[in-house]
Amino acid sequence: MLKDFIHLFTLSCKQATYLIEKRIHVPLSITEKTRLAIHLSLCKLCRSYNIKAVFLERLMKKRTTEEACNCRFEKEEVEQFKVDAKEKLNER
Amino acid sequence: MQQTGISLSAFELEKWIDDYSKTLLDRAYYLLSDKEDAKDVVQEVFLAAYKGRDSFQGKSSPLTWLTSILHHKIADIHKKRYNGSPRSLSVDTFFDKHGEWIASDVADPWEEDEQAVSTLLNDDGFYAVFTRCIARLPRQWMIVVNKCYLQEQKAAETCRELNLSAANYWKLLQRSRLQLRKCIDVHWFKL
Repeated sequence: MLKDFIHLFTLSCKQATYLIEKRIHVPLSITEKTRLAIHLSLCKLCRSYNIKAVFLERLMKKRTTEEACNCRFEKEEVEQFKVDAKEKLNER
Repeated sequence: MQQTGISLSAFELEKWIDDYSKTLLDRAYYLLSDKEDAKDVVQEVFLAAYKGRDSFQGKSSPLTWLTSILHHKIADIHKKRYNGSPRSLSVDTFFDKHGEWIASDVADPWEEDEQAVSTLLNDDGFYAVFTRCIARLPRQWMIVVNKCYLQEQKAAETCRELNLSAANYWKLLQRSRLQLRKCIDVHWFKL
């Protein structure tokens, strides 16, 4: 009953999580903000999801630093690459 | 030394290979998440630089020029891969036909006070689970997620490059986050 009421006047959880995503990246319009705020005030599951979504965002941001991605070539690999690259170049 | 745009010789290019391979390889690996792909694309960058040497004016540094070639090539790779495997963005595994959560496990608490959160953010084991969960995303989504976070590319630019509508862009990130939440829940908090 309450759920139907929430959905009728604001958003479904599916739409709410869409706006939660969007809000992480860009500012929402006034209408979107209001509808999301009402939904969150009424829906425990989406409130909980929202906290986790924001937490995941902090993890994603952490991954943005190249140091955190562990994506370095070893010295020997780079040296081997240089040899191969020059060889290919000289074939031209 | 007289440096004109037309004078990039094979010799100079060899010097560039010596000087910039490491930087370019690491950057490519970071953006492609695959060593072999990274080596292939950097090789292509040097060949393209050699062929296009006339267009290098010496106005920017060689590394800046090579990096811009690298970014173009990687954008092409992403575009090709993105178009190769269209995936449904349906969130039906999470929501029923009324758009309500199917499972209520989303409400199970994770660390909630700031202290516990920052401990977790610095936990290597947890971070490893997180990166494994990212790696499990369908490749097509990962391309968009990586453009958003690793390249810090704006939504509009990604949409234009991949020929994606704005709504589908947010849906894709929404879908990916829903899946990451679930994956981390199962592989860390519920263990």
